[in-house]
Amino acid sequence: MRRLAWVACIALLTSGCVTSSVQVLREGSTGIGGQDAVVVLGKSLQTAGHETEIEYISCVGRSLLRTETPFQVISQHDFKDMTFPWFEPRFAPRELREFSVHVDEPLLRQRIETLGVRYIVWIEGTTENTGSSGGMTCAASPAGAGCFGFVSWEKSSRYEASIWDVRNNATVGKISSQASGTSFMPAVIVPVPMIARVQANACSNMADQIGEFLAG
Amino acid sequence: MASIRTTISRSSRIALLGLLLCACGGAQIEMQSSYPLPLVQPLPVHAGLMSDDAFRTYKYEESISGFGDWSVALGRDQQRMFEQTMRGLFRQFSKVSGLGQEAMGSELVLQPSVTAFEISLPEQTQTEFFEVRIVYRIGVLEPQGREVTNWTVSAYGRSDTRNFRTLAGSESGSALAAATRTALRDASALISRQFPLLPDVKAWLTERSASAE
Repeated sequence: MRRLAWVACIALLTSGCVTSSVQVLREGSTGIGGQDAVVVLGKSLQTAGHETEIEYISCVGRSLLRTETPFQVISQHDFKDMTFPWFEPRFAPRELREFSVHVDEPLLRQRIETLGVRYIVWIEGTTENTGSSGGMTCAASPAGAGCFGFVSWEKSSRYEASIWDVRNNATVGKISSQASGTSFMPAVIVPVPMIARVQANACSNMADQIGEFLAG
Repeated sequence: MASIRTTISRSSRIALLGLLLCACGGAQIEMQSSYPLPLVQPLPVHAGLMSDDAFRTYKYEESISGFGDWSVALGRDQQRMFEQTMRGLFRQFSKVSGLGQEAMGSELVLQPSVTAFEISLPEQTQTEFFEVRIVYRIGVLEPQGREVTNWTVSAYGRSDTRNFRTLAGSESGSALAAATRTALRDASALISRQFPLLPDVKAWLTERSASAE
């Protein structure tokens, strides 16, 4: 118990502050059962623009498995392999209308049905470094070594998930998740980093909201 | 004035070495990936893949001024990619060593070759992407050697270096391998979806089914 308290204390002291917000826009009714599967995909573009981080997509998928509603989650990697080449960057549907054309292909429709895919969640967005300030000097001598100074850096996350109901061929909603936070590293002899877990925060918020949204 | 001696710890030395390696650049990659079977309606054809040693052992090498030596050995991977693509695209697939007698059993032979392989580094394009472009020339032949068509496939792949950052810096080799893998998948996607739509191939299929009736 005492050890746990110490760990909690250290975690609190060494983490920066994160502020976050989530917006949900519902466009249709939802519901999901234990046999249904959800796929979380990142928008991968062949043109300019950043891709959504692979780690973020995996994080949302993993976190969805921990939500209260039981359903299956198919990883992006597995889904793309099992439906190759329909979701490769060059051919991936960018809108539901394009997806409807794709599933006219009997083999693809059959595969999606076999996998039990009920919803496809498309995520776009990134986490960016938005600024840094401060400075730190480190020195060492025969008498000892140490650093002095203060550095801070900011990160900002902005992600949006579009949810397609594959069975009913409809966009059922959008969820936006934003988070920003500042990490600090003061140093009086020893640097003590206090990291703001911006992307992790945006991930857990997004997964919680998707889980609730799909449950209806 | 007291002299200050800066000592560099072991971990700092490792980080510094990592930084120096990154600054010098360059990577040597041996591609070892697997490729999925395309989910497309197979053409009712027994096709043969005829690839030569140059194709199966293809290695791209380039020394980029200021950015080091780069090499990508993709011969085995592109062979594997073509085999998988053809397994999905045709009713039956086999490897053939030549035309005529050696291609007996096949109705159509595909003979791929690399006509261009290009890489772009993030530093060159001022972006955060490694980019790879592979151009294949695919000869489509009848077993006796008559050319059905000659098709150029231009495949593209890129990888975001932000997905490959570690504490020691960006892993250039892994990022370039990912871009190459994406380009090979793009080639497979293009071939499996567009081959049946090639006018010469469609005409050949129509001619063949007409002569079979």
